[in-house]
Amino acid sequence: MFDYDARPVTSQVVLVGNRATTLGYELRDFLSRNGVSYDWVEVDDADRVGQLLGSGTPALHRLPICVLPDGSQLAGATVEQVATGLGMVSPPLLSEYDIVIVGAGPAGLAAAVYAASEGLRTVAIEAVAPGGQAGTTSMIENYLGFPQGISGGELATRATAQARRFGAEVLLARRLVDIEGKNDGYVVRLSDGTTIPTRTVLAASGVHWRRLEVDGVDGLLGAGVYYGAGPSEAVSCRGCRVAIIGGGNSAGQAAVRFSRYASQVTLLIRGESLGASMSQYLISNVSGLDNVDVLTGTEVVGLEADSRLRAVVLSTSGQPSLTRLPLESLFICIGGVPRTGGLASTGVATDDAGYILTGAALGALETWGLERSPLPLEASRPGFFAAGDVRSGSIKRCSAAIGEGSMAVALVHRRLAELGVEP
Amino acid sequence: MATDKQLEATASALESNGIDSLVVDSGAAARDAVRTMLPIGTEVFNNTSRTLEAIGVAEDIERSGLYQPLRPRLYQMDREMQGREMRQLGAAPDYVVGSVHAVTEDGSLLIASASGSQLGPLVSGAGHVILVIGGQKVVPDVPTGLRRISDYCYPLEDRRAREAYGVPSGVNNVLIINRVVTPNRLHAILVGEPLGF
Repeated sequence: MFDYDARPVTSQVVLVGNRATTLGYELRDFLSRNGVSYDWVEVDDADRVGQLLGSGTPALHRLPICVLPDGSQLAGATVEQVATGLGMVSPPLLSEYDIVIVGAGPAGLAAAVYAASEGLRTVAIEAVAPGGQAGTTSMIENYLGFPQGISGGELATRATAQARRFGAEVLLARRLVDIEGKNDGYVVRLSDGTTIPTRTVLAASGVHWRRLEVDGVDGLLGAGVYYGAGPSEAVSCRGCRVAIIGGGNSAGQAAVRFSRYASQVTLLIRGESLGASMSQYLISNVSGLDNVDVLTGTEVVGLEADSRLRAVVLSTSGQPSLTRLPLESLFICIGGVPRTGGLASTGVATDDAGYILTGAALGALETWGLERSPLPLEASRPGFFAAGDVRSGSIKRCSAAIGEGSMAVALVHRRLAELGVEP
Repeated sequence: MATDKQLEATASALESNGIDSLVVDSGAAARDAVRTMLPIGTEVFNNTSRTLEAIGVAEDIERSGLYQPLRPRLYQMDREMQGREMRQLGAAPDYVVGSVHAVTEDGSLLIASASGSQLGPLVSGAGHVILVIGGQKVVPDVPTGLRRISDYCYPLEDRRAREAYGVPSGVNNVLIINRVVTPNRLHAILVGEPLGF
């Protein structure tokens, strides 16, 4: 299928800006992960900028400028403003819910499908795009039932359509601000001021990529440095040199994807081999690619940049001197830290790394207040559940998160029965 | 431009060839008819079509939120990694909405395509097909329809493709539908005003 056979035919969003900026990257990432077609125009393309904006070079502080399909312009556009301008931001339809799901990754979407299909009043909230970290994966080849593999984005699209078909609402482009316990339930508050009363909460907010502890990395975000597989950037890496930090499946899948576009891909791992952290099928795929190198025992200790990244400085175990690797883009796919922003206000117990403790792992609780013990996926507050990567002790795998999401709904039923409000 | 009488006769000929047909006065009425025919929440592929863009049907499908439009979903996919999924998805939508390049007074439909990707779903891949056809596309017979494609439609489409995509078009594939055997599968909306080219 040719590109123009698939491209939406209605007016696209046009973004005018400097590609190598954090905000520009956030907008591209948001639009591409939500399937919104856009056209990126570099601010120094005077002809196109003049045609679009009818004026000279816009002031830097007004960038990026978003031209919406109706012709209106947003200067200094943020993700939330663009989402609102595109009609992607809708209020919750009901005054109260049986379950609010925080995060629409695999665990959250599975919970949304099962909860809504069983008649629970269900809403999921998602700050960026359905699919979570799995949604950025180019091809999951060992997911049950898809012998040719399925991309994370497509899996998320199908799951979102399925959840909506059963009546679940999915609210996009707003962050969770806090959750307040009220009576026997909770009130969830979002970044746009929306409040959602609910009887139960499921935290399925997943993990962030672990930050790279190297000087200058934050200033280069979007300017050659990206966290995750950067699906919106793959095409622009055509013919470029790319490095990926990480030895897990996400890094392996990113290496396979970028090998299709980049001239050279270098996978940088701290360990001595990929075998400890990557599935065998991905190791085989990666080792069969001529333009992918794997550097083991290697860490990034420095970055070289002007207005954007130009090279990384590497330290390799057993070698006294540092080496320099020139490249255009660096993708960081290492580990993860729990996404619990906004959840902390509830005071749910976490382990030392910040993952939410549930069930027997909670041990004895002083402030629990019920005769029964916490249910298996229940956190330290009655009716507050956790599933998927954000839960302490969970298996960090897409299918395991989906299992936990569906299991959590069965436990939500038990909590609703306990409250005497089971629908 | 066909007269009302020609449009009615053409619709009747299409009906006898197994193609459900409807004659409406205007593009706005055609847009309403498409809305009525598309079930809410259904998966829809809108073929590239000046007609659909002109009367707002492309906008309805891609942006109203009422349906599952396939174009934005395909656009999101990685052409290098997911070519097979894209072909599968594009080949068998629940509904395809598009247009034709000519309709004959004896009830045949003619559609040309440079890549050919939209022809398979029209013939059998899609569950249902809705075609919106401007009244200027009615021709007496198939040879005249083929001449309309090569002499009139092709130069205009070639110019559009060069402007929109930077590539030339071509009369590389031509589909002629003479009869449809699956009842209620293919629907033609004939419009009493010129639409598209």
